[in-house]
Amino acid sequence: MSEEFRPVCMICERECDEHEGIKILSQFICTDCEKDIVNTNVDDDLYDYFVEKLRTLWLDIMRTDIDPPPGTPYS
Amino acid sequence: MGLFTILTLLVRELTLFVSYVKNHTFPQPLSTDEEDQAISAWKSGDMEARNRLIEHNLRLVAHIVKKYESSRVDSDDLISIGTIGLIKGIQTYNPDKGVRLATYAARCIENEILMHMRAQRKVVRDVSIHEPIGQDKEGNEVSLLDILGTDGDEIIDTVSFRMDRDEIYNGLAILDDRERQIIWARFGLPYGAEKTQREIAREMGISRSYVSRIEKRALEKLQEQFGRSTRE
Repeated sequence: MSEEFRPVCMICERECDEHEGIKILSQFICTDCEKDIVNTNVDDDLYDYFVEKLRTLWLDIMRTDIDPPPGTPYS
Repeated sequence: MGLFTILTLLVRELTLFVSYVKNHTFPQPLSTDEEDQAISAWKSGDMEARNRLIEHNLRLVAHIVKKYESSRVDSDDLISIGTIGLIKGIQTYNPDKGVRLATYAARCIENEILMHMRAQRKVVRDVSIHEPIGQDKEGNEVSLLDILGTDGDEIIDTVSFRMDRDEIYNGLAILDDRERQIIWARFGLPYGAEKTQREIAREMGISRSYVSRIEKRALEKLQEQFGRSTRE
């Protein structure tokens, strides 16, 4: 029996049962964290945590840019 | 690592990012028709359509961040903050208002960055103890230095601090074990060794986000408890 794929949230780093979060490029944000992000003010301690975690998304993008997968028109 | 090296790395990172945005592998903006279809699908509950709207507007973040790259905020932080603004913008967008999604999202991204910069200014502003903070009854200027504690004040402060502390310790009884553990660690009770949410998360084997939620709930309970005891 094959195990079902459980996405890992880039913010809380949990494996999630539900798939209904935000999928941006190769990353995933679970619905709980999504709600937290939308409802957290810029002066909240937790806001800095979100900012730091979201860096992963952009570093991920930039890495792809530097080293495009072989066989693509950009390699 | 020298300051110049850090600055060079930051500039390099942003340049790489902008070059990525120009690259064709980055999601292209949706055409008007595609965007309208995605918006109406999302409003009918299609989360994939919502994700598509976020992805295809990521380059908006890059363009707006470029405008603020000379500010005091790190470029990569600006990109994250802009992304938060974009997520908030897509979530709250209402097509019935007659504004294009890109226009609305751009406003949200910019607003998020400006709010963050404003909050940072509040934190980093240095205050001199000689700075005038008001006037006394005779109209003489009063500085922070003038009102800093004398020996007499310090005694009153110490007594008042002890009373507050006892009240807080009594209040902690209403929390469950895990809430109490987190509050003790966060506020360095009883000996002042404060811990970050991340450190607590690591020690307790739960996520940082979870620690934050438990802490928030505990603080709300305490607030309610202290509000009640003040009213009684």
